[in-house]
Amino acid sequence: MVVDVRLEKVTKKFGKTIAVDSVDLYIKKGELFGIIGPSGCGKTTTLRLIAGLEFPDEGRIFFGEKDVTFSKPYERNTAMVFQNYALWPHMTVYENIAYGLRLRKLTENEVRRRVKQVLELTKLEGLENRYPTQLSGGQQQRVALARALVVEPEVLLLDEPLSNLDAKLRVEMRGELRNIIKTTGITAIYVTHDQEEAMSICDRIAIMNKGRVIQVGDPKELYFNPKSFFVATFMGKSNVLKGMIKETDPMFVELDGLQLRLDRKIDDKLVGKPVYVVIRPESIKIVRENIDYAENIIEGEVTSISFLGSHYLLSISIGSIVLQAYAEASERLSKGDEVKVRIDPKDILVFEEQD
Amino acid sequence: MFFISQASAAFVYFTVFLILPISMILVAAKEYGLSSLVQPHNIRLSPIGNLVTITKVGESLNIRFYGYSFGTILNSLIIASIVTLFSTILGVLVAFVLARYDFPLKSVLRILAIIPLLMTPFVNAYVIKKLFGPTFGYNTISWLLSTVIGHDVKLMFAGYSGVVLTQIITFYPIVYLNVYSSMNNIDPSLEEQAENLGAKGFRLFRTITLPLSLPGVMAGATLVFIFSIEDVAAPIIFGVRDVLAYQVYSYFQGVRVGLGNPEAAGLSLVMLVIALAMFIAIRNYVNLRQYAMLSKGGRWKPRIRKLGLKGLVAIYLFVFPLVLFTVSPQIGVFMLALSERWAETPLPQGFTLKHLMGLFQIRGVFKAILNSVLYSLAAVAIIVVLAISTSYVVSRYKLRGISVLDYLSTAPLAIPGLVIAYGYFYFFHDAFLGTMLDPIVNPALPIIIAYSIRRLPFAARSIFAGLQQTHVSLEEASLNLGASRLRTLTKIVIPLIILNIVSGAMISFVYCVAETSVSITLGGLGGDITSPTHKAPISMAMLDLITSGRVESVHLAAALGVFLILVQIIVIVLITLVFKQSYAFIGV
Repeated sequence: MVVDVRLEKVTKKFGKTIAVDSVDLYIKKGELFGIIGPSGCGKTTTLRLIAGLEFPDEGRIFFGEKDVTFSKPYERNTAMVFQNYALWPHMTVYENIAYGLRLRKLTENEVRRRVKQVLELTKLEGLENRYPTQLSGGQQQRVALARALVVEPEVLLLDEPLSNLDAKLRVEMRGELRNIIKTTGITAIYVTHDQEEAMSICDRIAIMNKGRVIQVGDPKELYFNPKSFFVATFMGKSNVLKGMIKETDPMFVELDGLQLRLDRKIDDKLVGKPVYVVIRPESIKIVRENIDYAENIIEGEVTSISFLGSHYLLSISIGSIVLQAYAEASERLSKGDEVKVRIDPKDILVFEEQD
Repeated sequence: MFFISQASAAFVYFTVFLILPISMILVAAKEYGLSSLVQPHNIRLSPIGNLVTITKVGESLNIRFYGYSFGTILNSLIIASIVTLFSTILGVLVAFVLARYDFPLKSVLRILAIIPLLMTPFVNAYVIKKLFGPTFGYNTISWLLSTVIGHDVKLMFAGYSGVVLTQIITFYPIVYLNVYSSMNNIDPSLEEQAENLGAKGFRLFRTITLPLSLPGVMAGATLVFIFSIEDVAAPIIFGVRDVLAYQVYSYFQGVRVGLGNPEAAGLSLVMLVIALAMFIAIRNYVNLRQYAMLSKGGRWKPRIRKLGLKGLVAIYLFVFPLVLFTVSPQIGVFMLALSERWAETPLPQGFTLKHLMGLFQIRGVFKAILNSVLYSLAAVAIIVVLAISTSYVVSRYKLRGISVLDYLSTAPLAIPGLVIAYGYFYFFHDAFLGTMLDPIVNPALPIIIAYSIRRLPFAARSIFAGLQQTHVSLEEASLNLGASRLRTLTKIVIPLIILNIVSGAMISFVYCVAETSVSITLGGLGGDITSPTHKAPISMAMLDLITSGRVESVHLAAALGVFLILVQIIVIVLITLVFKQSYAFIGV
């Protein structure tokens, strides 16, 4: 049975530290929902609260209509994939996967059938009789996933499932993981500190910081429309600059002698105040010809350049400001070149400074 | 060169003082044919005796446990098996409760659980006999029972059953400590995952927790088995003669005639074979199942649960009384040492400090303390040097066969003390006849060397652990800057692991002072403790005092026990509080 998950004002303290601070979340049926944030933000604790491995000090947790706030871990039908996989070293792959089924008192035939099915789904056929120590990292990861999926849980919980893999495999596994989860149609909650991973895997994402949920939305929304400085800088790479909204014309922000036009009117209370200006490197576009009508065209000098294969990462200095930008590999730039760049007004994000 | 000279020196020491003396047993046992081994007094398939007699005398119900005799060899094996079984159950239970649950007074239980490890040779067995053993009137437990239930009941454990009871009480903490540390080393997510998939309670314990702590269970159980086989104190106190340890010991009583008897060698060899077989079996087993935990990262916080009402009731009504019961010998030793009289009454009578004062006033007793301290200090000096060089070579020098050194430095744990005593007597008396190394002339040197071999594993383990935690690059940096190996060892390595060295030395010291087997055999060769020049260490003095038959002497032996307990407590406190090292050191 696929259910939705609801957290209402959930708070969890460890001694004096508040790990999870009055968190509200709604995860739809069959949704692959991400929770991201820096380490110590409370994302793993939130997941453990949903699993019943911790109990909240305040608030309620619902699976569908069922209040599971204080249900024991073995009473709620969740299945968790741990960061370290938590594969039992004294059991074979088959025994690891069959464990949860045997607890559900299925006949040995049924157990065999379901294990076989999940082994196919996770491409682990032929490894049934291996012990976990005899598997590669990626295989261990899939066993952990298979063990969780095989019990057909109401909610699948994943705690940084890819973080123990090496970089290349981690990227490869993203798509595979999403495919497997989406095939089963299960409600899944995915915790990670890697925002890129979350964006590529999840339907919707909640960003947490210091125990609180800062913003919830689909990956594009969070990336292009962050509601706060924290979200803007957490999602992806960004240039962070200090500036000031012009008092005479609040459609402009002043950056150390430079003036940039914004595409929306800024809150009145920010006018004349110091602000943070966030610009993503990919929003800074190199322009070759003079385009007089376009706004926000700036001249600068390439002060450093690194070749990343598909593209360059540039540092462009404009007066005292240094901006990071990308350029196509075909651009043939070198250090010391004078370049003109354009920043689309809609890509300039402005936030209050104390944020 | 450095490593080779270190390794060779260690090899020579082990060869001369471990391998050769023990090989002497083989030579001596040649005369003892296999046919003699299977004589009925060694192996008897139709047992004699009975397990329990229940009689009614008037209103009084007498329940007396005793046990069957299957012959010397089988008796030892059967007693060791029963003791191992019960110690393992009790040890695993206490370890599980302490490692996984939180409840009020938990720290009290934790302290109570290691108190039985405080060694008081002979006196604790004597006290257990007073509390639970055969007597004409009431032993303490019968008196308590009769008072509580208001009906006259006499419950006593005599003979084999007394030995079994004493050994379970004394040895179960060895299982507890090993299992406890195993359980603390289980990654909590392994249990959380099982809970998450729906396992709980006993199922979780049976399918996940227990299998993962099996290395600790096996290690603890094996040590208990070996310790039971070699234990001579309980058989002496309960008058059980037909066990291996008592038989081998008894040949020392008439040294010149007795030790010439090939049966002494034959039985020693049997003990050795049993113990070594266990040791090798478990080394292989534990290695095979040495579950390399898959998880990365450092130490974790073990998963500790709050107990529900049912659990709390079970702990306070069952576990606490059980553990309190195992602490009773140590309490009894104090009561005995501080009382004027504890003869026919269920509880001791009168309070006095005169026995404690007697430790320093009675010359023979004080001499025993001095002897023990002297032997132990000398042995510890050897142990430290030997342990540092073997551990350093083994952990840093990658050469095929070097692990033999590792084996040699831990093997003495598995070699029964009486076997070493017997081998030492034979070897030194033969090879060094009439010199200072001949135990008949002066047992001091052989005792010191025997201590150094027997107690080496404790320091070696501690130092080895220290070396493993110290990254090789620290030494390589020193070597790279031009320092020699020796200089690197003394200026870099030793300062880095000094805490492990000191605590290892202190642990070894404690175990030397409380050593029994060698002490009561070789230690008795220099005259009994009434002679002013005797060479006996503390445990020999305790045995002498208890078996002397004088009521007064037993209290004096208990006073020596109190002295030993204090030494051990001081060392434990120093190690845990000052040096911040863990005290869980009885393990393979």
